[in-house]
Amino acid sequence: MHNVRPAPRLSRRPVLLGMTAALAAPLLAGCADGPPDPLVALVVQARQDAGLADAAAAALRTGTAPDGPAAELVAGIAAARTAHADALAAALGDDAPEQPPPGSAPPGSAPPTVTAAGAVAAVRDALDRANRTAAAAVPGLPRRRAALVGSVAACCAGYRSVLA
Amino acid sequence: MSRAPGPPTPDLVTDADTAAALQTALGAEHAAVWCYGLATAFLAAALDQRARADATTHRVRRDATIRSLAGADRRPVTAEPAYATPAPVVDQATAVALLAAVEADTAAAWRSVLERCDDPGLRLVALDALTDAAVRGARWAGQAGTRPPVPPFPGAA
Repeated sequence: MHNVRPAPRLSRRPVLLGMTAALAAPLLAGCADGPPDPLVALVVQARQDAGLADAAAAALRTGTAPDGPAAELVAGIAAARTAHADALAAALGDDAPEQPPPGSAPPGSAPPTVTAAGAVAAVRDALDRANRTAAAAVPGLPRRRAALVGSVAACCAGYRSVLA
Repeated sequence: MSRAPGPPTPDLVTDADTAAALQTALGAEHAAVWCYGLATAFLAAALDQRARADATTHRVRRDATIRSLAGADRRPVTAEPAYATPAPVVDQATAVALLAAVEADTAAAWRSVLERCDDPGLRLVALDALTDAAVRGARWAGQAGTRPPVPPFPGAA
């Protein structure tokens, strides 16, 4: 994406932005004996967070004081964390953790009786944790994965900053 | 938030691709400083205050990036005299939309640095800048009514 450009002038070089190919096959797949791939934990965490955010969005829609805009924002977090899990799993390929069966509550998801305020607080904590975990992984990853995980960390920080 | 520039990274000295990515990021910071200067004229007091704080962060990061490049004997790109905005800026709404777009550009440029360097220190600088852009972008996009206010992968094409 490039929105702002230098005003047209004579003979300026074109602005080059690295165009990313779609996530290529990971170069480091298949290291069976090394430490666990940090992306595996990030996939699991992202799926858990999506479950937390889904529960919070439902609580915000149906609670004693329904809050549509907040529910929409938190539903966006659920969608983003699902997209993170999918992209990280795609980068892992065959090494991706198994997807939990549909309908099963992932560990860490909010109990159904939780209040909307409590559910949103849990999402805030989850975004903080996700930002920290992803950011900690960035220095040691191969380049493409560093960019992907960096965007995951940035997305979580962005949502955290607007989730009142 | 901006990290102080350390010694020049090996990447910047030896890797032309990393240096080019950082030059692009510097260009994005130059453009951001210019656009914030344009936008603040159209913002009410509370938003103007936020914009000025954001502009300061961009200037600090711009200057740190200049020092990093110069320290590696790379000539830092200079600011353009003017920039073409995606849409005319005529009021607060168009000014806020410009700032959301500027932060998306900034995020893209710093994500590209992450994708084109190996040095852990430079990666942390780029991650900080990408994260800051996503946070500022979320506020401006939210102010503009953009839904969702945060893209799932800030800076990704």
